Amino acid sequence: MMKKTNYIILTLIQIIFFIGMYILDYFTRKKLGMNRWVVYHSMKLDNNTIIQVFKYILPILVLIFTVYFIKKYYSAFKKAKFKIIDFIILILLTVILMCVLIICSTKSIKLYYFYIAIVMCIYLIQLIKLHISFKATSNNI
Amino acid sequence: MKKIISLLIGFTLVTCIVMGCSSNNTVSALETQAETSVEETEAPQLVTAPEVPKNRVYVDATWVKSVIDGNQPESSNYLIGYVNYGAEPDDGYKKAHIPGAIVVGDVDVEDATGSEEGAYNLLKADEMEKIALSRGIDKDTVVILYGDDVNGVARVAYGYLWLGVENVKILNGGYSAWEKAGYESETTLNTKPSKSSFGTTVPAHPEYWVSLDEAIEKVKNDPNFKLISIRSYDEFIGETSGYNYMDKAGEPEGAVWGKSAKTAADVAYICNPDNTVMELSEMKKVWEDAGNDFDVDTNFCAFYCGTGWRACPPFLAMYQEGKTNMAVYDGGWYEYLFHDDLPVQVGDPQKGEVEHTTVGALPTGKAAK
Repeated sequence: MMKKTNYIILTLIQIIFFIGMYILDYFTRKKLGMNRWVVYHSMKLDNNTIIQVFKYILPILVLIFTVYFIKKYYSAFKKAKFKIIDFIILILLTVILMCVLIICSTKSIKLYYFYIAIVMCIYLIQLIKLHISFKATSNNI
Repeated sequence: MKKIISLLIGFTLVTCIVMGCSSNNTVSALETQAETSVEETEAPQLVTAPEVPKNRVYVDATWVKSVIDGNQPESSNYLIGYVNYGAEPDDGYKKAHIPGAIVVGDVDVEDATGSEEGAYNLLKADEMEKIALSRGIDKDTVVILYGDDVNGVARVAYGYLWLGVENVKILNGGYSAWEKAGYESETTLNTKPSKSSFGTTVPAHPEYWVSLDEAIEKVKNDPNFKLISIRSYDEFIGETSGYNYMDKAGEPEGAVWGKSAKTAADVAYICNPDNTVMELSEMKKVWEDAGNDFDVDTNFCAFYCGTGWRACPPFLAMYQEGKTNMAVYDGGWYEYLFHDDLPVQVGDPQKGEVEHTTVGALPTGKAAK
């Protein structure tokens, strides 16, 4: 029951992050000050060497984590088909992150770094949810 | 399961038929109502107003209405532009606008990237020309601008004058002035047919624009050249940059203060309580009373601010008086900050409390919260 509650809370946090992305995008398009603040901080991050190096490492890490989690937990979920949605979401998030990190930049997406940060948070929460679901499924088997 | 699906489909079909019939009835009812309204309303009164000189920029709502009603020489070729931030219509436009007004974004005239190359300055002339033509603007179009932001509207007006539009007007007081006058509004999203040729080489008035290099050189070598900061006093003395995206504060070496702004977002000291921009004579009084060290009659006045918005109302005030001894140093403090070696003053020169340093040596942490 506790694990189910945690799962729901984590899902709500993911939804809040998604809403946050929309709000950020809305105010960046509508408010001059917000727009220029985003531009300023994006330029600073573009010139930050550590961030630029990490930008190349991150897709590799995301791919490794995704493959690891799928391999580790998939057999357990075969028995509980309704949890397949968690895997689908994980794969979708991985694809989004890989595309944004590899193909896009601040030139194509003004909120580039902010989107990466938010989607990474949603992705990490998804990994935690998968782990919770696995533990719940293991206890029931 | 099949029964449930069949019931759902059936219900959906019935709902669609009922809604379709209702909407037809609703349309018929509205049409009848509209016809009745037209019959009952009196013929609208056409407004007349005295003509204004071509170089007059700030006009009142009555004059704009008289243009729309066909009672001005400008009535044959005019365009009303609602200025908003960005290229898409904002909530202010969608809620209500002057009949026939199209949306004109500030990004129609200035850079939106904020890069070192663009620096939120005016676009290259050929880019601005292309956008203006797509809006239906050429050099002969009488462009009447209005919007919520006094500085934003002035910025677009300045951009068009620089480009070569010969007759640019601003509804002084914005949409509030239009509402107060009791004139009608609409909510239709308007566009104008694009034009193919601007009609003159662009920019037609490069002399209205001062580059960073020119500003530095003239401040050093031309005693008649005044680099006038239209920033708030706290920005001028280096207490704050005024912006959440500039983390250093100060002014270009040699700048003088023109008391105009209370904050980074207004020019309140040179506006009237009803948000109309003052005449030049009134602005002069503000500047003289503040002991500001420049003379609009004898000096060459290069106005600047953070990124070129607040600098535009005083430029336009001088422009509409027929003066030619003025320009805008477009880059402002923003472009200045890209160059660590440039000389900076921090403090008030008129009080003799000034520190001389460089951009690179300035402390950070001065961004507005």
